[in-house]
Amino acid sequence: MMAAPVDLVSILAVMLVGGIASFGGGMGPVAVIQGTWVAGGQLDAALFAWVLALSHLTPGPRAGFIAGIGYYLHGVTGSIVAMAGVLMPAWIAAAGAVTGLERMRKVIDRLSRSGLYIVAGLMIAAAIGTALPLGLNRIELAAVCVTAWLVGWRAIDPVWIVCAALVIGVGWQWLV
Amino acid sequence: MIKKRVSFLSLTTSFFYLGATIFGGMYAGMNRLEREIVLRRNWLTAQDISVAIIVATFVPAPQFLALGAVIGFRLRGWFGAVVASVSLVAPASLLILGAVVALPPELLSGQLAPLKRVVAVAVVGIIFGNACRLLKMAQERGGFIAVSGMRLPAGHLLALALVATLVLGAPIIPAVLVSVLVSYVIGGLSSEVGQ
Repeated sequence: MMAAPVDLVSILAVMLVGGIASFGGGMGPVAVIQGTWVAGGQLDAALFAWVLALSHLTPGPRAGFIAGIGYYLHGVTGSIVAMAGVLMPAWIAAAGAVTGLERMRKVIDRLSRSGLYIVAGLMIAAAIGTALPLGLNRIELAAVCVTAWLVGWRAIDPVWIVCAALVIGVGWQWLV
Repeated sequence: MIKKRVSFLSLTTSFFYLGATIFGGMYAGMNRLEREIVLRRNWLTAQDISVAIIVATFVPAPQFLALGAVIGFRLRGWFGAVVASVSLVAPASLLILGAVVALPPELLSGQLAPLKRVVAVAVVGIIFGNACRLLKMAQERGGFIAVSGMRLPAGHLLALALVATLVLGAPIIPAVLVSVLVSYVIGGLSSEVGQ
């Protein structure tokens, strides 16, 4: 299921990058985790998806899912280190932004025009990278398309999708 | 404008309360945030909150955490930023940590395997859906450049190139760094065509 624990320095470094990659949105860590640990075999793709799903059912910032990722990689200590890693860019950026807002404005404006495309690209790559190891069948691929349409075009809150998936999962388990 | 000196205890309790009661992300929780920080605590004005939201949107960090850090920094400096953002994310982190400890991977791969698979399929769809929403938002901000009188969707091409690079197995960090550089250039060019 899981490979040997990932060392704490690696967890901190990768989550720092994940935090920085969240420019314009909170999903940067998803792509970085997928590209580093799921693709690298240290974290099972289904466990990754499970923790992400939990984050849709809990209150507060979605980045809370990183605590679960850290736990799977190195226990409770890994959880704390992972959270510290993703929080550090927020502290530094907030301090920099508040103190030097005017000086940074030009660079921020310029990046903000197309920075979201990077986050979108990272998310699509993360979705593909999460889907590939699962070996989805046709029905599951259709379910992915319907879900993407509901979230992307109909603006359905993902919490309802996760709740529906839990109901279907429990029902399937009960039937089988 | 800061109305009074804020204690770390009240900063902790306020942001923990917000983290435990806001569902659906930063934008979904704006009313609650304003009620707590502006009306109940009287720490900042509504205008201060608006500026904080804009700053949080454009800094390289998860938005909601960045918002907590920005407000915390304004109220009590560096330590305020740490206290506010940690308190904000603590409820979600503790709940998720509790869930993953209570449901060990062995259980998930055995008895609960069908449940885990259905949820995994849903999450893949959610990530794709969120990516589509982001692409729509990005399109509204710009990302087109003029080439021989035509509008070239440079932002879309950048996203496509990044996806292809990562799916083909390129390391993510250099790929993101190169993308940020390209994005900076596109940002400069797209302003010239009046996006």
